Amino acid sequence: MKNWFLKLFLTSAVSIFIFMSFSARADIIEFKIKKLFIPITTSFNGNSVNINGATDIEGNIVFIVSSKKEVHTLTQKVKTDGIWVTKKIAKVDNIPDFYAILTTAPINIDAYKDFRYTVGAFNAKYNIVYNKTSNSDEYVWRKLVKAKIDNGKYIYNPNAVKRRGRYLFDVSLDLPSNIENGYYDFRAFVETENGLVGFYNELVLIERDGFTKFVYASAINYSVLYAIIVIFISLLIGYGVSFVGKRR
Amino acid sequence: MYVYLPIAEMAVSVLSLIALGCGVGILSGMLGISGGFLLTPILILMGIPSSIAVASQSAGVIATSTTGVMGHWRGGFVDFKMVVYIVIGGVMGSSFGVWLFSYLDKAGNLESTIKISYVVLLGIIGTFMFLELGRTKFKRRNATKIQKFHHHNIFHHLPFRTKFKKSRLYISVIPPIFIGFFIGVLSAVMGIGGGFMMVPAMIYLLGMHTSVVIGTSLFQTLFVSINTTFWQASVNNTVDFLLSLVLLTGGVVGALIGVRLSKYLKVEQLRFILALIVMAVAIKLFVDLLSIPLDIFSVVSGEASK
Repeated sequence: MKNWFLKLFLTSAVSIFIFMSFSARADIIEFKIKKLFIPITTSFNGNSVNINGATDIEGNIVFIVSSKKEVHTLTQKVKTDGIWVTKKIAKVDNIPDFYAILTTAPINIDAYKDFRYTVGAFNAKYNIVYNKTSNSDEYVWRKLVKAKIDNGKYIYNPNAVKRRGRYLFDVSLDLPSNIENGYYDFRAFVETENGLVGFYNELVLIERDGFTKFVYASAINYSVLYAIIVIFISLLIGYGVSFVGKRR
Repeated sequence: MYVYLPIAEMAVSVLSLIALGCGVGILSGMLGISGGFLLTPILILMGIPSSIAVASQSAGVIATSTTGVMGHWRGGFVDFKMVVYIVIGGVMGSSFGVWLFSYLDKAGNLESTIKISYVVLLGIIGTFMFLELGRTKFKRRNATKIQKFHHHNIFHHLPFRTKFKKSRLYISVIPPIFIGFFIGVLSAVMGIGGGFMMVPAMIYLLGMHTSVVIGTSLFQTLFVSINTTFWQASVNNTVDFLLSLVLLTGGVVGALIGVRLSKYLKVEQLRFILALIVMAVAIKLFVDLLSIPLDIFSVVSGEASK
């Protein structure tokens, strides 16, 4: 009960603060994310990011969430001698691992070729490093985006943003458990008859924390030491079990 | 309840992992096998990337083989001279295997290679287990016939012969090194201990005395799995120790249950159940390789696939 009241109070306070801060201005959109750091601990199984915001602009609120851009490898299962084997067919650079579009109403993604906002993964400035297929780069790119959508890494939810009254809105984003570490850029603007208006962004850090961070950092940065520790602990467990077995 | 695997970068049901470890542990306790050849393909079927499943399993093999080694060492059932030669081959083989693993991973063929290898291996093991069961039944029906301890084959006529007192052998050192090398490669690429192949090879190919076979084989498994784990962790960064730990927890509990259960079940029945499981996993993997995949295209971030 107390916790519920506290949440309501904080949400209201944040909303009022946002509203007060831009009430004197025009064409403004602002939002607050409760947690700017999402730890990936041993019990992490995806996470919900709750956002509260306000705008004085009439129109379709558009949220774009994007992770850092990096190289991706596209593989294809090919039937060889009756067996399906995996082959690397293309490498594409400069694309985010995670990408989400959340709006109050459906938008025509293909209409946005304006790269200022990179609305829609299909409009991104991708860079094909190699394409081993006989198909066009566009074909490879579309297959990659489709694979990302199937993985839950590229999301388009046209009714995720809910307006609460004339100014306030809120949105919730469910991040998958197979998400990558790093900064995630949360951007918001409004789609109006005059195009895209207003712009606001926040960065959220999603990173391994605690034991998972320790294990990962050790495995990557001190791999030899990590190997020795893994071997030592395994030997210890094996010896411990044999010792218990002997006593029994 | 889920556990996030930091190297595999995915969340997996901790209860299903413990149940899997426990299930394989029960079989280990009842039949005296490490169960790696069963655990790794099931992990792959659960969605764990092949490279992580194989490498993490090798850390688990260290623990299980240490437990076995201690018991056999105390009993004096180890031919240390034979261990030296087999381990030389095993370390060379597993080092080569880790390089091969890395090469296949970079080429994008690792997953298919591991699956095909498992289909072949489990198919052979399952078939042999069924044949062995049939032969045991046949032997029991017929009167016991005195057999020769072992037959001399080509391995016994190769150069560099030496005496293995404990094994009661005078053979070339080449076959033990060669067998160790072969098992070492399989251990690195498939994440298995290799005991189920090493033991018959020692008995039928080398002609070793059965009393020292298991202890000697376990020593080889221990050294090879240490070598494999070291290289997989330090070069390929594919050992997810959290995965190994959860599986080991279930495995230890399962092994203790298995030892108790073995008193109430006949060994032949257990072997029959294991043969069925082995064949079922082989068939499932084989069907997966033949049937049209749900996702023809898949994408991974980074240079190499996991």
